[in-house]
Amino acid sequence: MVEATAGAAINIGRRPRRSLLEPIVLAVTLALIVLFSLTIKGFATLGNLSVILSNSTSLVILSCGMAVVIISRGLDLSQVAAMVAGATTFSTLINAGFSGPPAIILAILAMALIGFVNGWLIAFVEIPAILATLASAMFVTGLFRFAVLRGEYLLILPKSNPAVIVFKSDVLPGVTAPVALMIATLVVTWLFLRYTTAGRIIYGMGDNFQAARLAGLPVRKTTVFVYIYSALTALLAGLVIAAASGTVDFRVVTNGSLLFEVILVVVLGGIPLRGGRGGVRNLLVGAALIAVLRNGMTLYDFSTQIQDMLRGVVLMAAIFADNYLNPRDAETDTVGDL
Amino acid sequence: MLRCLGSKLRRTIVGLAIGASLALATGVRADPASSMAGKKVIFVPISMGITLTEGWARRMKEHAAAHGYSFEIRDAAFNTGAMSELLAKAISDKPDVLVVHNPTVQLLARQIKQAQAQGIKVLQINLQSNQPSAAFVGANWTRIGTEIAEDIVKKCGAGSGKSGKVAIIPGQLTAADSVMMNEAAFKVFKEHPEIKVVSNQASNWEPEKARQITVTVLQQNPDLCAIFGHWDVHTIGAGNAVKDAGLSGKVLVYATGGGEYGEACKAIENGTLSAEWSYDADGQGRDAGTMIDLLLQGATSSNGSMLTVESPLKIIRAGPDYDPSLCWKMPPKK
Amino acid sequence: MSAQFDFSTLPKLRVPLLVMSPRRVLADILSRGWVENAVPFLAFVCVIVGVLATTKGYFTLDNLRNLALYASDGGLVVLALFIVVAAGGIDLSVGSNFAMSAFAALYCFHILNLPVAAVLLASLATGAIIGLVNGALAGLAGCGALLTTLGAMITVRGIFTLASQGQLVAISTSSRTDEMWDWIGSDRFLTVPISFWVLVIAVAGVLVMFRQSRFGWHVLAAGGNRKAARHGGIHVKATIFFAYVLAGLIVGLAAFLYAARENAVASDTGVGMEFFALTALVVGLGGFVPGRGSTVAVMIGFATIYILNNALLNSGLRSDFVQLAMGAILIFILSIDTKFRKHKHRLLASAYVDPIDFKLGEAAGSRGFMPSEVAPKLAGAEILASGMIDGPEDVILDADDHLYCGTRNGSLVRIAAPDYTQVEIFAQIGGRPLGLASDREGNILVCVAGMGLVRVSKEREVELLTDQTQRSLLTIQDDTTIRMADDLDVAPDGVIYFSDATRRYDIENWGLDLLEGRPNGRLLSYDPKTRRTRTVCDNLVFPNGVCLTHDGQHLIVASTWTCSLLIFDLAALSAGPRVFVHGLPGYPDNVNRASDGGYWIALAGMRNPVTDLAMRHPGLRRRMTRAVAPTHWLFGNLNIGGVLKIDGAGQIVETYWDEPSGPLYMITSMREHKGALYLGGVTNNKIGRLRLAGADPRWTGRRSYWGRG
Repeated sequence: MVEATAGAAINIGRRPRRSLLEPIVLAVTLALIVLFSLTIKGFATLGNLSVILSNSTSLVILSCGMAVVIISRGLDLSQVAAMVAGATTFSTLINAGFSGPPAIILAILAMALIGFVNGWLIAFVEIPAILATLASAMFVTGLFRFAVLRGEYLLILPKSNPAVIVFKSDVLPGVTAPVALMIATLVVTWLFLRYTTAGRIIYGMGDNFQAARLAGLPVRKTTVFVYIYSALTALLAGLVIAAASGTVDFRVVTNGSLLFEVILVVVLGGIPLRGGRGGVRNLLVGAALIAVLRNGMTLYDFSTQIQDMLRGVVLMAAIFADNYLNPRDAETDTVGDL
Repeated sequence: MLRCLGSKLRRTIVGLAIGASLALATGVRADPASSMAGKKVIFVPISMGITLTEGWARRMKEHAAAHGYSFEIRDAAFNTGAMSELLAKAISDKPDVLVVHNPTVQLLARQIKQAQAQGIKVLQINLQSNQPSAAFVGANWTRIGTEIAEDIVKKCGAGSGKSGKVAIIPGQLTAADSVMMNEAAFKVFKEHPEIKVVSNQASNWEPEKARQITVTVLQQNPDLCAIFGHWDVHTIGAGNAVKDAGLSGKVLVYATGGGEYGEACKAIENGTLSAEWSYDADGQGRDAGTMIDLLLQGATSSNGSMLTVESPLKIIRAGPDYDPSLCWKMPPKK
Repeated sequence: MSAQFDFSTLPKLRVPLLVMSPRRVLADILSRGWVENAVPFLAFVCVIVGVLATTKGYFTLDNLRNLALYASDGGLVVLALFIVVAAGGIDLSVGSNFAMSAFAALYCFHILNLPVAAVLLASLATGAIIGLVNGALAGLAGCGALLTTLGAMITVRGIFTLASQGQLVAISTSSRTDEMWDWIGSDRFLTVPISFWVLVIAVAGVLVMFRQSRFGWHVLAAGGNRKAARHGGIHVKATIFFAYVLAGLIVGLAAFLYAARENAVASDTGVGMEFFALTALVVGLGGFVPGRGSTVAVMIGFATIYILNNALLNSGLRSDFVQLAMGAILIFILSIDTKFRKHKHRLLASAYVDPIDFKLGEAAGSRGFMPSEVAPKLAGAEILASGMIDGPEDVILDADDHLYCGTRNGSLVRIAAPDYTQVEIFAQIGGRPLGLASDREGNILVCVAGMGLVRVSKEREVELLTDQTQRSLLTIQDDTTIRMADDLDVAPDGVIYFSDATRRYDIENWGLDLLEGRPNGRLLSYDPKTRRTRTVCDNLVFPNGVCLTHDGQHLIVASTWTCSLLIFDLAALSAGPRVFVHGLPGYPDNVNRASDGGYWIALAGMRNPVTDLAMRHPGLRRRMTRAVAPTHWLFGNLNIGGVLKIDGAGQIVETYWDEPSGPLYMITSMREHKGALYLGGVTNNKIGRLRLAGADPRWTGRRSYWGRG
């Protein structure tokens, strides 16, 4: 009898409280794919698949960085600012006559510096991540517009420059450079989270930061590294976007919707904002839903406003469903979980 | 006795003061150039950092420097909410002339009225408000709207063999240019039922948003004939979307704008835009500068209506008619 | 009757009027609650001073009115977000909600031509509905607040754009005007814009809500600790739900004011507002802190950010530079604030102990009475109730010879006569009962450290007589609360005189008061007739034992660290104390009457030359408290104690020493009763009894005071 209750207690303690968001979102995505395939002509084609892929490259690359940050129980609100700043650095150097490789290296160094400052503010000055990155987003945007663009919003990138063409060309037949970069980022993020020491520490920090710190893990250094990683993915996404549109526009930062979309992708796939759980698979699920939804709605002739609205509704429905099927434990629920 | 002396003294001082000020006043009036010296002009643009406002500001500054009045800029940075705050502060600074660039026809109307009532002369530049004021310098939007619409009808309308589908991309639906150009354009389109307006969504003056709108529109209407962008800067985003869809030349991209070389002519050269009705921001800047000079010298219209300067239009077209000399160049920054 | 003292010839003691030092001021400020808001407030002051220094004509009446007019809707939005954050949530949809509600107002006004009151209702309703959705999902259903409101933000923005697209042009070309509408939008009341009055009223409302109302307290409780709030019987989910609805309502109000003022919305209205509000909130609260209801601090943060941004933009700087500067300033403020909050308690701890150079006079009058010179008489004391009590600081006997004492666990116990083996809890008081006295009616009065003055009636009823006195002059720290009531005595007119040994340390840390050596204590009086508590004499050095002289006209107060007894004239208390006995060989604790007209003095510990020397070196003691473990501090010798007997003139006439090996150790009190001396010790677990040879076997304290019993 005693043994049985003890066993039950252990069982309850060990049962992983897995978020059901991922399977729900996956199911919804599959249902949508079936629905769209049946109702929209030309949805289930290879051509449309490549459209979906290439439309979501920058989003997926950004969310790789954001996922790593969120798993470590942080949040990077300066990612889009860093993205634009990175693209600006690269474009300015290219416009100034630098060739591709040195421009890239300088841009990487600049972005690593931004990530380092973020990480330093969070890990060493101990400003909460959401606030530190909120402030640094303002600072970085202001700095680059002031010092680099001298007040302009817009930077035009010569589309004919070989360094720019690299980011648009096909690496393999049918696989463009952005798609290849996206896959590479996904693989690197997966390997990093799964097989490196730092990756495992990140899970530990997300799960229980104090425990990780008291156990002697290098949480501060890892935090700095996490934000540098996020800034580097931002650079990559910025290069892809800049090469595609031929412009770098700072107003992407102020209107904020891209940033929220990145967070949305990460969280929809089932990576909780309190960190410690999830991985690249979750991120793919979230990105798939957003991409399929966006593509289908566009093919359905919905205007951007209706698309925005429906996306918001889908998000709220998903959160509600997750919460309904897997309610929070009121006993362990803490205020910090937003 | 003492009081008597005091009042006498006071009278003398007052008399001297009046005399001196009269002498000063007549002395100033003698030189028309310095009658503007020391006066104050404040410019509240929708945003700096774009060639349009930078071009105006450059010319107005030249005038200010030449005549010795001060010229300040209050940058609202595309934030319409901040703009009315900036204007309120500008009014309480009591300038002699206030130059206002209206984001919508209604937003600043009350404040313009208030400023005029306080004796501040308000010069509205390019985008006017519902509220009339001392002066207006800018394009004739009705004419631009009519001309572009007629051009679209010619290229896309009956007999062209095209679909007749048109997408309109305003900056703000309620900005003066969009209100008036849309009104004029729809009037023209009404007479030509073959023209269908498939989209009329505001881009908030952002190229990226215009690009997204265009991508969606093109996906829905691959046979789109023309895009009518209300401002060249954001319309370039739309043009890029057309280019990326491989429809360059098939979809005509119309825009209006300040006609700066790096923006307008470059975009036309590389095929992003098909045609631009330019109101020549550089010329507008000079017009505005001149108008400020006149207002500072007390110019008013005889019947109390607005003093108006209509900017001459330059039509820059791609193709054989392309003439880069129609553009002006912003000098590079130091 | 033995020798008598002559009050007028005793040396006067100069009592300082004010004890103040830079370190104490710092420590006192740091221990105040409002110091939490110091950095935001300093930032605000810096911004104001900076703006004043760099611009001219910014703070003119005209521009202040402008600021008031345009700040009000932003302020309301910050207030709304603040309520949600206080409840432990977040609302990212404030900007979209603002745009939507403003649009609703304009639509009702310009298109539907509704009266202004209906417009207000429509605006409020729109805001409340969006708040309702947020609240239902994030509060009632318990979904994550960040994501829920993010979804609401995207959805509402989409609805706003869709709805406004068709109507904006019609709204902006509408010519309807309305006096009421314009009055709200741009008029003034008492020279201040209407909208600012609305903000002021809303802020006052929220302030009162968080301080006084049940709902406000529930919100803070839910934000502070959800689990605790739920266990405390608060409907957490409903509370959070209503917090969101209230926030939505306030955003609707803000939007109404905006609509009336601007008479227009643009497609970018409210975009980025959530970031602005979050920034203001963070600067005010010093971080993202749920469960804190400091409305004023939040408004200061808002004013800081608003004025900074506004002044920078208005000074003609480019928007990019303004953004750069705002970012940098924000990082700066946050860094300072974070560091300050983190290190505040350390700074406080290192600044709190504030020793002074403290000179102790030579020991006097005890030659021939020291432990080395006389036999330890207490070695022969009987031990009563050994192991059955814990920490009898003071002992007292009643008319039936029962023995009473306080214990460490806050109870007053009775040890029954005649064999003193039965121990029972007489009354449970709480706190740490110290000195005891008996009043005319036979009630027992108890000084309780951490509580105040308590009366225990014969029927065992416990009544708190007083726990605070007047506030001292010119203090930063509120010292009205009696912190360490130590000993007491009752005057013939029934007034109770008692000592508050130190107001800077709790009972566990009384040792630090010795290391400080400052006059931190005070003598208080309580009059049962008027029920008033008065500070008789402030700034005494650890006033401990209190005893009325045999003539009932003077009051003896032991000043422990100065090793002296002070004496007050009850007829002229304000004239201050005089020194009755000085140069005692140890630290005096309680003082009590002896049957022969003299007094008993308990010595809690012995002076030693090293401690006396250390008292001359404040720096040494300060470093010692910071660098050395408490068990290794230089301190008076508490291992050996004893009882002194002085005659009526203050001359030591006899000493009763304990042996170094016990059995009584630190003796803090003694009470003569029917020819025996009962001895208590604050760290002892027993009471000693010593038969006194030659003492009056019928003399009791009660009879000495009240003539009977």
